[in-house]
Amino acid sequence: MKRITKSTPKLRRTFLLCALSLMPFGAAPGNTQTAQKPTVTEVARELVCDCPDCGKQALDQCGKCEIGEKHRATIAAQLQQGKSKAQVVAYFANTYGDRLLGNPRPQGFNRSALLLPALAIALGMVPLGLMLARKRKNAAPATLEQTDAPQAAPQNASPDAPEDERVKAALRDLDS
Amino acid sequence: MFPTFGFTLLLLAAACAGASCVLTFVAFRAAEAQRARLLQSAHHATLAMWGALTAAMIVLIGLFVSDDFSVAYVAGHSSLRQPIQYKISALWAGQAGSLLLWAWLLTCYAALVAVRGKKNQTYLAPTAAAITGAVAMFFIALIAWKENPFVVTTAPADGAGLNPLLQNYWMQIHPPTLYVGYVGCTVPFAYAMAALLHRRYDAEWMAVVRRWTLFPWIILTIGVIMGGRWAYETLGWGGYWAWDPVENASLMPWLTGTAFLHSLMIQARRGMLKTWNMVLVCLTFLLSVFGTFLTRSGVISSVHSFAESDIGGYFLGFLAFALVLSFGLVIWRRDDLASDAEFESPISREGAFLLNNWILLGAAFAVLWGTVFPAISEAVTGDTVSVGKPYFNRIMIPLGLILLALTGIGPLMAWRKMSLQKFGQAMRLPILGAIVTAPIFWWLSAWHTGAATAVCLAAFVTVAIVGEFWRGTRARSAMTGERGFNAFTNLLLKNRGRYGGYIVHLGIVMIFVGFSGSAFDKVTEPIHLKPGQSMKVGEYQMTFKTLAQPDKLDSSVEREVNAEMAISRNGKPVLDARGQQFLLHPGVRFYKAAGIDNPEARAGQPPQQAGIPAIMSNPAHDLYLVLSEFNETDRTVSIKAWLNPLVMWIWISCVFFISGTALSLLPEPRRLRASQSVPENASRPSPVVSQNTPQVIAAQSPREEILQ
Repeated sequence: MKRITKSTPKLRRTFLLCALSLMPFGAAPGNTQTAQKPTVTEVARELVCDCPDCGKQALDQCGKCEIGEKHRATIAAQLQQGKSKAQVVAYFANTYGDRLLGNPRPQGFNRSALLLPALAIALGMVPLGLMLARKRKNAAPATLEQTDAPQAAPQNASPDAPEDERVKAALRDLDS
Repeated sequence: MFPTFGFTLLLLAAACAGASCVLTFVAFRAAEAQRARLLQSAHHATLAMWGALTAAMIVLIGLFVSDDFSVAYVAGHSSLRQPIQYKISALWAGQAGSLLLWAWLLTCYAALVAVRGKKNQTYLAPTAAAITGAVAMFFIALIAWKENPFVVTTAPADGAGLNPLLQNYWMQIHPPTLYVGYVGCTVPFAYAMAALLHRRYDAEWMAVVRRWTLFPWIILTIGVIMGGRWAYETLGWGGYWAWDPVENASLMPWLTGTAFLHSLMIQARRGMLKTWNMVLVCLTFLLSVFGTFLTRSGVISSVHSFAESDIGGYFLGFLAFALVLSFGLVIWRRDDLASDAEFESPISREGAFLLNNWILLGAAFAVLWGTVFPAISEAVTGDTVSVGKPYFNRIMIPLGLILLALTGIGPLMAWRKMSLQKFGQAMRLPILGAIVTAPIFWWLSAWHTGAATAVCLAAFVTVAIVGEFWRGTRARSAMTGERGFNAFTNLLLKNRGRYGGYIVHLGIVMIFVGFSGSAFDKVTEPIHLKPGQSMKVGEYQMTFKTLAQPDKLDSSVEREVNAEMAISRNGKPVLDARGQQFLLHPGVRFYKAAGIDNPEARAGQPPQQAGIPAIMSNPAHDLYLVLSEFNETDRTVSIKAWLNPLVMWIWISCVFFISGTALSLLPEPRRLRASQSVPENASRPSPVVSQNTPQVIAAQSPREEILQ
């Protein structure tokens, strides 16, 4: 058995390769679509229609209702003035408050719209952490060994050997 | 006469449901000698409940087909001119009929549970059937006293007709499909309650509850995707998912049901998470009822407000009752539900499943909170706020990407624990797949970080899953001497749960590839065109030729106007299968006016209308055209066009979901079944696998169909 204390060079190389592959993400020019002048539909996606018949559909979805048409005309006029998508959305927020925004502004009680799910997901980690802590407390010094594979792969085996062993072990366990 | 007969059948079904519950309860408190007789009577009562409600459904369908407008529900949702298929689908177009469909499906499930489990489930099946019947009783009582579809009124000359948006073939199958999925969530809940009542949480229970969860899960999956297709084909806004409250309502039980299907494997394998699994089953059921509460109460604004009334309070009461009862029972039996093993390492399949459960539950909570937030915010602050696509996308896209990654990571993990080195080795090829995909994706499209991540992860998962199939086939070949295709098919057939699940994971890959395309959609504003003029979206050019009216129309349609658009791509005409210029026909359909209140007063009003988007699909993208406006005098039109990349993969994913689940649900080979048909009350090996002897029980327990 082999005690794992640090990553092997192979593993380090794999993760280095991953990190390098992710570099373009950081250097990427960004969404070329957003670099262009936004269209009415793109801005309308950020807003909802507040007419009684549309069921608060996004403004790009609602049909021919008068209120929707009016809001879309306002967006077109705002874009004509050279405003950006964020500026047009801000204009609607200032004029109508949060009721037309698809994503409520993070202020006051609205903060809980985003914070509560984030908090719930974070709290979900607590039982997992407790389980791990209990395990560390109870267990003998851990020796990490893959247990689905009954035997370690021989040293001269192919690189896929441990994986093959895992699959074989699983199949042995399941097959009659 | 028929309406009265229908109502009587409702009352009879409610009485039978009550009798089934009472007889089952009495049977398990009675002496052994009387139990079989009482359970037999309860069984008959369950079947009678199903029979009575089936007859009530037939009566209502008969009233629709025969245009009996003396029945208010028929008059409100059908008309003389309505084609026969829409007369039948009008049954679930309103509150009362859709509740009746819901209750009928519940009785179907109760009868199926009773019949299927009669032979060898002497405890679980009768109790589960009775609990399903009890839920049905609530719905039947609600129908009979609050939403009776058989109420008689003065018959108008003609009915109001079906909402035009519902006059679509998808609406004939999408709502019933979704209902089969929703309602099916009751059965695992009923089995969970039965297990808690009888203190039987053995392998048989796990196998049964898994089958009864997989079936509604796949139907719900298909129903949700069908709903997307309906929205895409009908609503004319170029999309398929809008985070509408009713869409969200269908997603929530799907998320918790998916979490349950995964964590049940940990229970089967390690005897862990028993309490958690009970909680997940209860949540899935409660969220399915919550979904119908959202649909019907009108508490939340939704485009799906086809069926609203004041029954929300009853649903809330029922939800509260079911919540207290089920969670009370789980707490009461908490000692029985203690884990048999300890979590050993986060780098293990259990670790991946736990993470998957955590994210799925987090996602379900985020959807729930976002859906009810406008109502809560208004109640707390008095201000009106909206929560729409931007909010949900912000939360759900990262969670979705983590889940996508886990669909590839999970299958590569070993149970119990795995060394970092071996984990790294297992991940090597899939990571390479993702790395190779990144520059290809960049080269093929404009950069979008979210979409690029999704596509790279999709490649990662595909390599991981295909690799598992490859290794499995190779391992089987080495172990049994079988070759090639034989080894592969036997691998699938002998390990149906495992490889069926992997096929479903490939479906998840497809659907995420489809989602990622939405980052690159192109859309025009409505463009005014005269005959011969063209517009462009992406590489496509659309030339308006003429306005046309089709000759053949449904009897409820007054007229239909289509714009004939000739399609070219990069300057070359797109040709159809016959080598002729490909045409798309976006249009508008006008329905004949009808009304039950005062047809004369409505006669002067414009008829109801619905847009008909025209779609040209291929695996790379959809060209989607909508006729925004038209003028028949100067024969001009306004056309809005979308170019939606990769949408087709969302619909293709259905094939993977269905085939993977079907493989998982395939009946067991006869040899195995014979060894498993041991009566429930006979002695049976421990359901829990000893950590030291994982291979001992493999050939004799239903747990094998649960394990991956």
